[in-house]
This record gives sequence, structure tokens and C-alpha cells, in this order.
Amino acid sequence: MKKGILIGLIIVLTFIVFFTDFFIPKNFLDKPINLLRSFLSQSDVYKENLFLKQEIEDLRAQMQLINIRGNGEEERGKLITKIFSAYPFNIKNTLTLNVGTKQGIKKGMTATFGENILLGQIIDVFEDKSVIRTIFDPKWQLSVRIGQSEIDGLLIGGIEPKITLLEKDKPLQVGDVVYSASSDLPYGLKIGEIAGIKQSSGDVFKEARLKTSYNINDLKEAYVLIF
Amino acid sequence: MFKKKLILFFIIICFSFLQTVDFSIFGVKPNLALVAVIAAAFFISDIWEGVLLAVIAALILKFSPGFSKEILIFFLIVAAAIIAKKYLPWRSMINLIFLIISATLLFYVFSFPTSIISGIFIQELIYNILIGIFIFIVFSFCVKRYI
Repeated sequence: MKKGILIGLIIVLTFIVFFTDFFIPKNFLDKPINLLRSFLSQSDVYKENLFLKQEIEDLRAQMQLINIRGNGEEERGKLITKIFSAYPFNIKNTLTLNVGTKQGIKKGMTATFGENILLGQIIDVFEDKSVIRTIFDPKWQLSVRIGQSEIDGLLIGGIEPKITLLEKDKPLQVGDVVYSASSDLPYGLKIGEIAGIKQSSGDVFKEARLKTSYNINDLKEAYVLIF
Repeated sequence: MFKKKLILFFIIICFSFLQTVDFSIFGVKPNLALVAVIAAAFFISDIWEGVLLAVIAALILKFSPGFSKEILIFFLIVAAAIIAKKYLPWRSMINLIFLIISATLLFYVFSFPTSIISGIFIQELIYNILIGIFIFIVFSFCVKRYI
């Protein structure tokens, strides 16, 4: 009898997990986590600091965008979304948002942090949820440009994203801004800055490490650009 | 007996939720749910109870609507580990380490085989073994002392 109930429960839960759209949004854990963080850092300074840092980075990215594209930038629609949950393993890096087809979300749309910093791209859309692949996903590859001299490179995602295929003779410096140059995304969205350059004498190209201006674990909201 | 099961379920739920909130060590996420369910399997006699723990962990780990290949792989590997545990000949601790290594390896083989040669896999494997041993010791202590 007891075993029967147990097996029945397993069947019902297995059906829910694999054959329905039900999942537990994890954003309800934000409050206790923030509480723990503010407790550990003695006050709300951590939260305030984080918010200010985000604002500064977004404004910097906006200035960078104006430098690249001039002031005649096209007007973009944007949707502020909440991040529901994140991919729980190391293999990918995706986030689930609380908007979907009902809100006009389509595959391939761009997700940003603030308004001007690239976070990822929509890869899956449901009625009122959608999934974005972030630049920390090992499968993510993207054409990028770097700094004022507009040096071309290829961004390879991962826990530590890197820029590859950089021509050896091009002048590249730590701190140069990396921005999107792929036809799939709006041009000029800031991705991060060069954190280090790796060059070996035998190689044709050089590589650079990328430093993003945000910590993905701290993100609670994201923008989706509608254009 | 009921108290023991309740503690095991509670720990599995806590570890599974912890894994979904982007808990990471030096940027690498240990597979907390996987090691917690495998470690818990050593404290339950009924295979079906182990499978129930695995499906609860899978439900918590599910991160988006729709089908996820990785969640299915997770569930099948953990369920297989629970069954395999009964047939392993060594001491519990050796069995646990063997199962954690096999489960972590198989998870990568079936979900993203090319990343096995990466440093991330090795890091995750080490974290999984250490956390697995830690959970096992805590479980053993709780069972001896309080139950």
C-alpha cells in the first residue's frame, strides 16, 4: 500500500517535471539571499553600492554608444523584465525571464543589463516566459569590435569569456571597451572591457580576457530590446 | 525512522534550491543536488524512496518551462546511481566516491561531452567529491546522534 503511494507520487512528479510547463520560479529566494548579504555586509551598503555601480556602468556604456554611433541613434523599445531562475549546471549559462509571446517577445531578441550593456539573446520563448543565453554560455560566439580603433575579434563565451582572432599587429590595451558588431544584435552594445592580453610568438592571432561590468549572480532584472 | 526521512528530504530540498541560486566556488557550480541525493541514498533502504528524492531534486532544478534534456539526464543518472549503490562491493565511503565520480562523468558525457577536457569539469568533480563526503559525514553524525 505504502509502496503504491510512493510509486504513484513518483509518476505524478515525473509527469510534472518532464511533460508540463510547470517550474518553480526561484526569484522568491532573492529576499532571504539579500537579507543574508546585507547581514554579512553589516548594512544595505552592499545593495546601494551595487545599484550605483550598475547605474555608472550603464551611463558609461551609453557614452560609448554615442561615440560609436553618433547622436542619431534609432529609438529602441525596451521591456523591463524580472529574472525568474538561472540554469543550475556549469554546461550552459541561461536565465529565465518573466515575459513571453504575450508581451511580444520573439526568439533572437537582445537582452541587456541596464539599457546599453549586452547580457544575452532570447533563445526560447513560451507564453509568458522566455529563456536568454548569456555571454557566459560556452556555446555563445559573437563578432565584436574593440576600442576607438575598432579592432575586430570573436567573443567566445564561458565562465571567463575571451576574445579570440585578434590580429597581432593591432594596438590593443587593457581597459579597451568591447562592443557588439554582429548582424544579429544592435551595433555597439557594450559587452565589457579587456582585462588581459595573451600573445605567444608562434601564434598568428592574439587572445584577450574579457571583464564584464556586472556580476551575473547579482542580476534581478534585465531589459529586452524590441526593435 | 520517519524523522530520519524527513531530515533527508529537507536536506535534499535545501541543496537543490542552493544549486538554483547560482551558488558557485571560484565561478564553478558544484552539482549539489546530485551529490546530496547520492549521499542520502546510503541512508535509505527502499530504492523507491531514493527515486522520489531524485524526482524532487529534478523538480526544484527545473529552471524554465518546457522540456530540459539536462534535467532528464540528471534524473536518470541519479536514479541509476541509487540502484547501483546496492550492488557495489566496497565500504560505504569508497562506494560514495565511486558513484559521485561516475555520475558526474556520465552527466557531462551525455549533456556536453566536449567540456570533459575542460578545467571546469575537473573543478566540479573535485567539489562534488568533497561536498559528497561532507554531506555523508553530516548524515552519519545526525543518524547516530539524534535518530
